[in-house]
Amino acid sequence: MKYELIGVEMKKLTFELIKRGDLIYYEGPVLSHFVDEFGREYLMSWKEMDDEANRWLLFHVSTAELHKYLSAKLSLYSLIRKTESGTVFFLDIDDEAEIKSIKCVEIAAIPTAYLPGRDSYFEIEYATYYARHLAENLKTILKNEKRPQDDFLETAATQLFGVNSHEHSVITHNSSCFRAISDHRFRNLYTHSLINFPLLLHVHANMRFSYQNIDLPWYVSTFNRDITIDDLIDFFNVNATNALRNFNEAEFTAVLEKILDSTIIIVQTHPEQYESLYNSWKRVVKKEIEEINTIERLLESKI
Amino acid sequence: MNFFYENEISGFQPPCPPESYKTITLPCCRWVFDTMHHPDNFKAQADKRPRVLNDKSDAEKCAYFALSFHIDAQHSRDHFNFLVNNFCGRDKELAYTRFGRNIAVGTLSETDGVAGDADAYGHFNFHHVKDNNFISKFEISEAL
Repeated sequence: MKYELIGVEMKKLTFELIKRGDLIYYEGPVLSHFVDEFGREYLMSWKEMDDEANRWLLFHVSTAELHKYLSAKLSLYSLIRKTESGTVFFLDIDDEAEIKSIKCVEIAAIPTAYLPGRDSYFEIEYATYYARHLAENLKTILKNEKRPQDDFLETAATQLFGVNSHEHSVITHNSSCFRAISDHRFRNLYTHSLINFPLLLHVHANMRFSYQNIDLPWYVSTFNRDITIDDLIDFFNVNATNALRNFNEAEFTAVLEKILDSTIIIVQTHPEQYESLYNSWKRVVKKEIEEINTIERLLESKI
Repeated sequence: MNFFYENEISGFQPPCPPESYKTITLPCCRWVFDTMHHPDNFKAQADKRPRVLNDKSDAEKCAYFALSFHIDAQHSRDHFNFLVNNFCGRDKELAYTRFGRNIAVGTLSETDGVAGDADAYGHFNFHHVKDNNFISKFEISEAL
């Protein structure tokens, strides 16, 4: 390829990409829309080709931003620059549709030539039928499906992981894991925030402070050595998920209690950093529990 | 008509080319590479990269076997500039390798194939026949 990428080489993406459709097409896709297994949305934009492969830029977009882009209120340039994780992926894909290389690259390190023009606004006339349909759908979704916990988790994640690029890569990797854990254990969107925030906070705190407050099964093997970013990614992706999946209800409750206890200790130790987020989280959880109780009461009255 | 990709498209449902496509006689433009003799000038995407057809519906595959044209040079330039600005804003060379470097003008006639309707930006798809003589019918008029 003409441009060299400076970033972290990855063996594979930590989420599954499911193609939804092409937004811009000219004798082949130029800009395509994907989701991952948790419904997070991505755009993949063509960048360059050589004899071996095509290079694509993959980045996460929120539903609201995607809608703004498709409504020509936000340029593609801004969409890429605003990517919440602060990182994007470059995928080199050959003619056999095999991914030959994946690189995680900080936004600041994207070669200038790969950035769209500042006035790269969507023009519906050049768009596919799918893009027009998606623009309409997103309008409806945004009107109907805004959940209060989405805002809270997004704020918490941004505040906890909003600065350091290494941390960005951790949140990128682990957000999927957090969701997998809570999906698996609770099977209910309302309970995401119950488990997500403490786990987010633990990852964040562990990168800055000592690990003595943590007493969870999947931390044990790492107690006697320094934890690196890679360790965190590993044990959240593999150990934590497996550990939680293998617990029975009683064990899970005990583990959850320990997570909450150590969360409180972290917050008490660093109130200036975490207390405000912690209080917001408590309010969200309380509201969700009230809603679940209401649903349960309704169900009981019907049975 | 004996289409260039007859074997590839013959079994598609809905039929390919779509029934709404018509023969035309129309002066038009196509993006081409360095010279009129470049082998990819009139090659469909599905021919250049057959694996793009994987997991596609017949209707989508059909589009991959069509060639893109514009009704005039202005639409041709505008469309190219849109793609450059959105996908390789700071290096036109990247776009040249994929889309072409020049605008070629020529006249499509009724025996050359069938065309879809031109969209608001003057672009239309064209399914061409085996016995086309595009290389002699089209000539490079300007650089993109």
